[in-house]
Amino acid sequence: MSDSVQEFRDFETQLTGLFDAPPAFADADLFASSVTQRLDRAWLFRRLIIGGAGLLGGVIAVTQIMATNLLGRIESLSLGTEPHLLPKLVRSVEAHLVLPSLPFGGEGLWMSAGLAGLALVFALTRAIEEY
Amino acid sequence: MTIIGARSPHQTLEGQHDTALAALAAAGGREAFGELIRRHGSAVRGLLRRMGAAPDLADDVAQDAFLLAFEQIADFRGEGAFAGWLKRIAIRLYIRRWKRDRRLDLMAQTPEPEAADANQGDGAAAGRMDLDAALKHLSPAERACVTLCYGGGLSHAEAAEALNVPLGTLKSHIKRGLGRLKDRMAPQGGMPSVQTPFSGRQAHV
Repeated sequence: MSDSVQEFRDFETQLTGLFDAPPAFADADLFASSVTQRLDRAWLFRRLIIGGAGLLGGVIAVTQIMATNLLGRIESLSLGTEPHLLPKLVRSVEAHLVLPSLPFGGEGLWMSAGLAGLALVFALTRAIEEY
Repeated sequence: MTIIGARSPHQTLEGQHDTALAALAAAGGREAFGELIRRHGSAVRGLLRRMGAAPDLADDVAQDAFLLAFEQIADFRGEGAFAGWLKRIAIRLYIRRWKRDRRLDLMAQTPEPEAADANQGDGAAAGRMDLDAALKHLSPAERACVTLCYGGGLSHAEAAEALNVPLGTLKSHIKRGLGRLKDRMAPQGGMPSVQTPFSGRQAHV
């Protein structure tokens, strides 16, 4: 190997070493803490979103259970014991939560609402992260 | 009562290898990732500035790179160095900014005059100062190509693909850039001008 080639190889090695040595920044701690804060904010927001989505799903599930047949089953089990109270309650819940005139069932409606809610939440998450 | 030899969580993290910290971070350990930020923050910021990014932009992209790295930390399997994986993310984000803002003309040949950057670093190492000062005398394209290959650990082919330039063009930029760097950084009467083909730095990450 000629001297010039070897010399160039040495220069490359030296250059690589210089690039590998990171510069020291006076505000390195500030940078690290600002990244950590952004990370924490994103994490907190996600937890809120997950909690909110869980709450929404829970509400939907509870209303579905109430609006379908659970109370009816309870009514049938309790026939003869409380003849007046439960039928009224069931009718009241059905009147408020079930829409029989729609071309799809109540489950479809609530599922659509849930998905729309989730989509909105994800869109908001993305927008806030971008911001 | 003081327990002799007890360590705080931060002290424990300081002693961990990058790969172990990345595994902890992948399991949701944000403190472990915070340690990785402290370890590699300056390297990523420095790399982006050496590529030619303005300080504010470099810090902005570096922050985004860390956030993205945390999101994708499960993809890091420890097969290469964490620093290399992280730098590639930062490089990808910075090049995306370039393309979006159309700030870099890779065919530009003339060096951009730059004022000395007071926030570049503490100036403790003379060699590093030489490198940073010498890089400012390269054209944007030369600077980007040299930094990608020697600072970012990309092979020539990877750098050409990242910058979307032909391989031959990239090699030309590197050859000219190295020649200028060598002239600037070599001792007086030391190394001769670059006349030989060079191997570049092969990707090892």
